[in-house]
Amino acid sequence: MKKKYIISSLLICLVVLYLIFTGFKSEGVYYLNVDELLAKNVDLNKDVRVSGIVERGTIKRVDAEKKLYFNLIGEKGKYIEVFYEGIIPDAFKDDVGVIVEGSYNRDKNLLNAEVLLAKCPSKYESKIEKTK
Amino acid sequence: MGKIGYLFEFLALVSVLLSLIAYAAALSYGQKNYAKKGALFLICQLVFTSLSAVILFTACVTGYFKMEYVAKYTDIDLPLIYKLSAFWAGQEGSLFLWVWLLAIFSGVELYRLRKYDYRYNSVVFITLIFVEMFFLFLTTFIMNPFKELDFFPSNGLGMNPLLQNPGMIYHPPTLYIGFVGFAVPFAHSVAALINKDRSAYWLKNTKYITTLVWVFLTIGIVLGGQWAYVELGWGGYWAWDPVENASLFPWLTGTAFLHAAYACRKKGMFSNWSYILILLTFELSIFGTFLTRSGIIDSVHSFGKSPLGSFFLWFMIISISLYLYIFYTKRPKEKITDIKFFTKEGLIYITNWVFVGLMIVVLFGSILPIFTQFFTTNKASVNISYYNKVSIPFFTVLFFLLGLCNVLNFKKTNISKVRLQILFNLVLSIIVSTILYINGFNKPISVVLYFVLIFAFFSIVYIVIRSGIKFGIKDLRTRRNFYASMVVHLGVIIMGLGIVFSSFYQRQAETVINQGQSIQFDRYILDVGNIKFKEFVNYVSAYVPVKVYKENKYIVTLNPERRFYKNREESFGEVAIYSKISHDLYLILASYSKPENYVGLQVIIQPLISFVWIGFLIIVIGGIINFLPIRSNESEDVAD
Repeated sequence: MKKKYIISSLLICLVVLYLIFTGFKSEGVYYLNVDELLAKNVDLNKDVRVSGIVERGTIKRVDAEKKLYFNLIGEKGKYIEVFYEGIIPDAFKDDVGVIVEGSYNRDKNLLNAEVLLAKCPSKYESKIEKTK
Repeated sequence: MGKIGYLFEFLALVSVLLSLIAYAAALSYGQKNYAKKGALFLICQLVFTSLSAVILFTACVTGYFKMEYVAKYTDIDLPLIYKLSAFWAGQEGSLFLWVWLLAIFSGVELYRLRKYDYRYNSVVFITLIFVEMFFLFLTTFIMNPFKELDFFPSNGLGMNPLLQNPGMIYHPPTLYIGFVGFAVPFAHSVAALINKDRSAYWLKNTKYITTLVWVFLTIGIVLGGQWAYVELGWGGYWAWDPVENASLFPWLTGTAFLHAAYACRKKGMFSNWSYILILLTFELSIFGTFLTRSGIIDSVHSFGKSPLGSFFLWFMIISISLYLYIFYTKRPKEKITDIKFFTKEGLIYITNWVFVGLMIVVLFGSILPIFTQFFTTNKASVNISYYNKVSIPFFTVLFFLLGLCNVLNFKKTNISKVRLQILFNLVLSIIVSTILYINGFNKPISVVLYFVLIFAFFSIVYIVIRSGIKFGIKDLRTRRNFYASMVVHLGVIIMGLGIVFSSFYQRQAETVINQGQSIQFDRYILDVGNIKFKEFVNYVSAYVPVKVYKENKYIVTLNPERRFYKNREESFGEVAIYSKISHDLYLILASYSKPENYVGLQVIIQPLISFVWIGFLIIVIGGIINFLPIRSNESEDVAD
C-alpha cells in the first residue's frame, strides 16, 4: 500500500521534471539587459529576451508597413538596434522601458524582435511635484 | 483627513495587539472570559479599519489631494466610479484593502464561531491576527495610504488609462477576497492541529466558506482575463504573465484542497494532504501578493520596485516554519487504509498530485528569472509556448480523471457495471470528436483536449441522470451539494472547451489600408470608413467606423478607437468587439494617419470564446446553489 503511494508520487514528480526540462530546453530563452548581451558570451543560436530603454529620438516608424526601428540602450549607454514588425504596444515611446524577444545578430548589432513589450510608464513611481 | 485615517489605522493595530494578548491569555490560563475580551478587541479592530476605509474612499471621491495616495491615483476629471476604485489602484491602497477584507473575514468568523469551544476559537483568531498584524504593520509603517503631503496640490496625477475600465471596479476586490479568504481555512487547520483534533471537524466548519472563497478567486481570475481581453487589445485573455500566474497558484492548490477536503469529510482519508494543501494555498496567496508588489519580476502588471519584498519573504519563511513545526509535532496519525486506485478516493489522490504538479511547472516558469540569477550569471526565462506545452498534459489528465471519477464510488466499485458505462461514454465522446474533426477542427493536440473534455461532459450528464432516476426530483434539495458540484464541474468543462477552441482556432490578420477601402476576412467584409474625432471629459477619441457585412448583409458598425488621455503622452487602443455564441469578431485600431490617409487594423476571429464566459457564469451559478439557505445533507455520493 505504501509502495503504491510512493510509486505514484514519484511518477508525477518525474513527469513534472521531464516537462520542465524539455519545456525549458525548447522554449527557454536567456533574459538579459543590453549591457549583458553586449558583454557576455551568450549562445546566440537561441532567441534572447532583452530589456532596456528606448533611446530618445531613434524611433523610426513605418506605420503603413507596420515596421518599427529603434535603438535600445542599456545603463552604460551602449545600444543595440532593434527591428520589429507587428502591432506596436500602446505604451511604446521614447525613454520607455521595453522587453524585446527575438534573434540577435552580433555582426550587425541588430535584434530581430518577434515580441515587443512595453512596460507601462506608470505613475506608480512618479513623484508629485510642487506646482504652487 | 489623512491624519484621522492614520489614527484609526493605528488604533486598529493596537486593537489586534490587545486581542492577541487576550486570546493568548485565554489559552494559557484556560479562561473563557479572556477569549470574550479578545473578541471584543477584534470587533474594535473591524470598526477602526472600516472607519479608515471609509476615510480612504471619501478622500478619493472628494479629491483630497493633500493625501499623497489620492494625488497619485486620481484627478479632478476622473469619473466617480474610478475615483472609488482608486482605493485599490496603488500599492498602499491595495495592501490596505487586504487588511480591511481580513478584518471583515475575522468579523464573519467571530459570528460563525460564536458557539464553538473557546480553545478552538482562540487558535483560529490568533492565527488570523498573526496575518492581520503583518499587513497592518506594512500599511501603518511602510506603505501608508494616509500619508499627507506638506502642501495641497491643485490636481492629482490621474489614473492609468488601462485601469479605467469596469474591470477595475470588480476584478481587484473579487481576486482579493479569494486571496485573503484562504486565511480562514488556514486558521481553522491550525486550530485543529493545536487541539489535536484528528477528525475532519475543521473541514466541516470551513466547507462553505472555502467554497465561497474559491468561487471568488475564480471570479477574480476570469474577470481579470475578460478585462485583458477587452482592454489590452491583443485578442487574448491569458498570457501566462508572472502576475497572472500568481493568481493561478493558489487557485490550483485551492482546488486540490477542496477535493482532498471532500474525501476527508466523507471518508476520513487524506487528512495530512488537507493540512499541507491549505498551507500551500495560503502561502501561495501571500506569494502572489509578493510577486505583484515587490517588483522582483518584470511584468506588464507589476507595481514599481518597493522595499516590501523582504517583509513578505520573512513573513512566509516564519509562517511556513511555524506551521510545519506544529504539523510535525501535533499532526494526527492518519489511519492507513488500503487505497485502490480505481475508486473515487484513488482518483482524487492522483488528481491532487496533478494539481500540485501543474502548479509546480507554472511556478517554475514564473520564478525562473529569479533563481537562475542566483545560481548562474545568466538570467533565463521562458515564454508563452513553454506554459502551453507543459500545462496541456496536466489539463488532459485532469479532465480524463474527472470523466472517470464521476462514475466511480468510494471504496468498492462494481467494476463490470462501471466498465460498461465508461465504455459507453468513451464511444459517445469518440463520435462527437470525430464529427468535430471532420468539420475542420483537426489540430492534433486540440483533438486530444476536446476529446477528454467531452468525455468528462458525458460523465456528468450520465451521473446527473442516474442520480435523478435513483432519488427523484424531490431530492434536488437535499442533494443540493452534489448538484452544485456537478454544475461547477460542468462550467469548468464548458470553459475548457471555450479555451481550447479559441486558442487553437483563432484566426487573425493585420492590414494597413486606405480610408474607404474594404477588407475581406473569413466570411466577413469590412468597410473601413473615415477617421473621426470626438472629445470626452478626460480624453479625446480617434475612431474609425467599420461597417461589417456578412454574405452581403449589413450586420453592425464597429468603432475601434485610440484614446488620448489628458496628461498622457501615449495613446491607448480601445478594441471593438462583435460577439456571437459561435465566435467573436475583434477589431483593433493599431495605427492611423489622417494626412497620409491610411488605417492600420488588426482583425481577429475568436471561435467559441463565448463558452469561456458562459462556463464561468455556470461556475458562479453552481457556487450560488451551494449557498442557498436550504438544508442539505452531506450525501454527495450518488452510488451510496
